[in-house]
Amino acid sequence: MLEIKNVTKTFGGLKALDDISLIAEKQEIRFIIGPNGAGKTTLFNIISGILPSSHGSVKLEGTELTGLNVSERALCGVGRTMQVTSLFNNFTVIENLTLAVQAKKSSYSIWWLADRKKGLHDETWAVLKKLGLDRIASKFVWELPHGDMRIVEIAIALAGNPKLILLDEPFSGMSLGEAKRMIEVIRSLKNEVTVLAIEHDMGVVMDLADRITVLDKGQVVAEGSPDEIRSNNQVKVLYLGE
Amino acid sequence: MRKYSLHFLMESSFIIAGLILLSALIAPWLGPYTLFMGTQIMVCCILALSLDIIYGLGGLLSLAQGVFFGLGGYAAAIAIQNYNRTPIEALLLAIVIGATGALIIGSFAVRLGGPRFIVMTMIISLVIYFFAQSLRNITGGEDGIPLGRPVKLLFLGWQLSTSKPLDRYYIACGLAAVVYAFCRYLRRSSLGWAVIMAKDNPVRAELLGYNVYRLRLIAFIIAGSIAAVSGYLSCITCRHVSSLMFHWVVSANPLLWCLFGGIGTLVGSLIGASTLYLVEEIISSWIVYSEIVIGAGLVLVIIFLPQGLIGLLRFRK
Repeated sequence: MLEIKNVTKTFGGLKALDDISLIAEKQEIRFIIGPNGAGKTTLFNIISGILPSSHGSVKLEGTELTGLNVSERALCGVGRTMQVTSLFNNFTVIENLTLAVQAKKSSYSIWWLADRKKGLHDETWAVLKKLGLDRIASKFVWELPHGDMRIVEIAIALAGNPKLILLDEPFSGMSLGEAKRMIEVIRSLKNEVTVLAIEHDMGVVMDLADRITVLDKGQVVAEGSPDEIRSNNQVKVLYLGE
Repeated sequence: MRKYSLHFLMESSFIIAGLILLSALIAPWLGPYTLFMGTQIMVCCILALSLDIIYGLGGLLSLAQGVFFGLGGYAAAIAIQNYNRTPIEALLLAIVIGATGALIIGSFAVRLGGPRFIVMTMIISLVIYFFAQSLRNITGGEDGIPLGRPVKLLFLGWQLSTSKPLDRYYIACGLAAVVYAFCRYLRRSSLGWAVIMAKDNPVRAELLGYNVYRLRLIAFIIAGSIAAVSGYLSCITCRHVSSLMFHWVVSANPLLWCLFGGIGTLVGSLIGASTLYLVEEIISSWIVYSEIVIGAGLVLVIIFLPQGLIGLLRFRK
C-alpha cells in the first residue's frame, strides 16, 4: 500500500503540489490524470525522491520513504520509468537488465565478471521472457524501435521485484501496434505490483485503471473508479472538455 | 560496450601481450638509452591507465593524478630508504597511501561532479605541489631525494636489480602488464559496468538503486592507487624522487595521452602514452621548439580523430 499524506511542494512562490493525499491499495493499477502543469510528474519526482517535498510524507507498505534519497528508495522497492526514455544506450537489453538486477541485490564487486553470474542470469531471463523481450535480448538499446525501448525501461524498473512502479506517460509517442503491446504489458502487472501511471490517452486510462485520481493545479480534484470519473461533472468540465 | 569496439579490444589484448613479449625478447640487444625510454614509457602507460579509469570509465576528469603519482613515489622512497623495506612491501605501501589520499580528496571532490570536480582537483594538485616544494626537509624540494642503494627484487628465483637498465625495463614491463590486466578485468567486472553506467546515465543508475557517489568514489580510489603504482615504478627505476612529481604537468599529461590514443578504451591510453612519449623524444632532438610541433599534432588529432588514434583502427573492420 502506498500512502501519500499532505504532500506540498513549492517552487519559489509557486505551489506545484498543494496538500496532496492519496492512498493506493496493494497491487492496484492507479492512473493519475490531469491537464498539463497539474503537478503529476512533480508528484512522481517526490515519490521517487528526485525532488524533496516541502511538506508531508510518503509511506510504502509501512516503510517511511520521506528523507531517503533516490537510490535508497529504489532499494525499498520503488521502480520508475521516465517521460523521456532513460536507459543505458551503449549496453544491450540483457546487459541493462543485469545492471538493474545486480543493483537490487547490491551484488556488484570487482571480483565478479558482470556477464558470468549465475543467480543474476536466471532472474534477468525471467523478466525478459515475461515481457516478451527475449528475442531482442542481445540487441543494443540504441538500435531498438521506440516501443521496445519503452518496454525495456519497464523491464529494468521491474527487475528485483519492486513493490511500487511509477510509469510516466508509458504510451507517449507510440504507434497503434506498440500501444497494444504496452496495454498487455501493463495488464500483466496487475496482482504483482502496485502501479501508478500518468497518462493522457483517456481510452487507455479507462481500459486499464482500477482507480483514477484527477489532479488540477496541484490539488486532487476527484478520485474514483473509471465509471465514477467518467460521470463526474467537475472532471468533465476540467478535463474532458465538456 | 558497442560490439565493434569489444571485438577489437578482445583481439588487442593478444596484440598487447605479443608486443610486450617481443620487446622483452629483443631487450637484451637494446642500448641503455633505449631501455631507459622503454622504462619511462611504462611509467607513463600506468599513469595514463589511471586517468582512463576515472575519466574514461567513470566520467570524472581528474587533474589530481599527479598528486597520487607523487604520493606513491615518496611512500616507496621513504619505505625503502628510511625503513629498509623490501620492494614488494614498498609497492603495497604506495598503493595504500595512494588509495588513502584518493579517499580523502575524493570524499569531498567527487560529490561536486562536473566542472567543479575538475577545478577542485586542479586546485588540490596545485596546493599539494607548493606544499611539497616548501617541505624541503622531507621532500628534498626540486632536488629531491636519491635512493642510495639499488633495489633488488627476487621474482620466481630470478634476481632483478634496479642498478641494471635491462632489469629495470623488465620490472617496468611486468608491472605495466599486471596493471593493464587488472584494468581490463575491472572493466568487465560487475563493479566496472556499474561505474560506466553511472557515467552514461546517472539518473537512471540512482533510480535502479545504485549510489552513484559511492561508485565514483570507488573509481577515484582505484585510479589513485594505480597512479601511485606508477609513482612507485618511477621511484625505483629512476632511483630518485622529487617534489616535481607533484607538478600539475604530471596531472595534465595523462589527459593528453588518453585523448591522443582514445579515451575510455584502456588500450588507447597505452597507445597514446607510448606514441606521444616517443614522438616528443625524437622531435626534441631535432627541433628546438618541439612543443609547438607536438601541440599542433595534438590539435589535429583532436579535431579529425575525436576517438583518438584508436578510432583509425576501429572502423577499418
